[in-house]
Amino acid sequence: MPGWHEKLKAHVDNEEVVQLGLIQEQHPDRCKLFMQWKQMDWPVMVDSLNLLGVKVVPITLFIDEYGVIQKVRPKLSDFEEFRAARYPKPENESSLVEKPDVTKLKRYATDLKKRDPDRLSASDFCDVADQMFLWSDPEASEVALNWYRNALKRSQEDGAINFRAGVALRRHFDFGPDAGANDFAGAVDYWERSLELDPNHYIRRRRIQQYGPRLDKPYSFYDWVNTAREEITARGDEPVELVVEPGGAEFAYPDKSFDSAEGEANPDPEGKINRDVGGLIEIDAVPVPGKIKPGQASRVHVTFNVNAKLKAHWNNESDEGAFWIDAPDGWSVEKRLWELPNGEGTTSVEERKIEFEVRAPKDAKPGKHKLDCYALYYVCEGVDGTCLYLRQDVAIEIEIRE
Amino acid sequence: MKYAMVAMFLLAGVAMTTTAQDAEKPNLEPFPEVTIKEGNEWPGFYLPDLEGNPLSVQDYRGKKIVLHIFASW
Repeated sequence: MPGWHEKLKAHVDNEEVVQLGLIQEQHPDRCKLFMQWKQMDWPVMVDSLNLLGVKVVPITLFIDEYGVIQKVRPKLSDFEEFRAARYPKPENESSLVEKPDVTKLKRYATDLKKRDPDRLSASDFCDVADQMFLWSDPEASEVALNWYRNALKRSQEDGAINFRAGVALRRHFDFGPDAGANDFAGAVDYWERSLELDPNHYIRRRRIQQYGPRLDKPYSFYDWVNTAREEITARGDEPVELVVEPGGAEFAYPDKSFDSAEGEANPDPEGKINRDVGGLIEIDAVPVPGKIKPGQASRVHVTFNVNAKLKAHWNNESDEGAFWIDAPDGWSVEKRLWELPNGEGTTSVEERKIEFEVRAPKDAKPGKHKLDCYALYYVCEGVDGTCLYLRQDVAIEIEIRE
Repeated sequence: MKYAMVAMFLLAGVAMTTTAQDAEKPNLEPFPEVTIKEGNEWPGFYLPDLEGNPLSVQDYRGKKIVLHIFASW
């Protein structure tokens, strides 16, 4: 964002363009501090509930004078064209929506409660819950939460409602007058359920990781806070006060020191992580030797390369990648779960590789035997593209000779 | 007379039902499905800004907008 801010500052001052933000974050005051630190003063909308439904951030959009999206994930160099362009007025320009009316909302909610609850749908409850959350004081988050709970009674398997219930419960934990540790645990439960229902939802995953153990952390979420405060103070300003200070888990850096103890758990046993269908990462596996006798071992060399044609690159700000090996019955592997360590810098394009040894059983039958493996990794599309957490299945064949 | 009373009860029932079901619905569907795709219109909805005040992209209709969807982490 700071790059865009610098690029557009003069154009914003000249009223040629408006810069807006929309954050996907539990605590908006942290964004406020971030904006102050980076001296970015444009308006920001807060979407803690992920009502927008985006699964990844950041996403930048060019929107024209009529509200039409003209460019998704533009480059800085695309701005001049956007600025100079004249866009046609849409044939069916939609009418503007009304600003929320809290009085009407409360009256509507009261009336809704009087109706036969069996005739109300999950969305009836969820619509009210969303608005109650958005426009009520944080101290009253339990009101929204109860509406979400009613929605979940009608649609337990709705990932979005589970996520929103978690957000409301966490806010109740932070601000509610009678909140306790169980509320925080309950929020995490809701988030975990929402992630189970859509394991490729980056925003939901991040909300859990924000509070999760160092082992699962992709990076420190709020290590910038202290630096920001120091620099703002050095400028002679008063840093924005955070209503909820980040806790240890939110400052903590990733630590993989427990990998050896817990590293043998299959990280995606049900195969729910999205596949790298576009081929952002190219994986090659070469067993040496490729043909072995029963009881012999082979060393498998696996290389991982970013797809240069797609300008893909590793995302080093996220978790390290992983490689999981499922060998056929009777076969032994020295280690089933391997790390793919991140490279230097925030992104990189280097080749990554691992080598592992596999041993065939003494009674292995002649013919080809398959190791079912898969890799998990964070990779970014294009130069300014989205970063994704993807899986790629890899079948490695080893032949048993007569 | 009997029919008139039945009609009155029915009318009263309809009126009560209408009151309960049609209590002026506030802006409760501000989040139509958002498909972030070039050529699509950014839907009209309000979210709180960092101070808690309603803010919408549509408040800037008539101006070109660069919108960043992000998080500070």
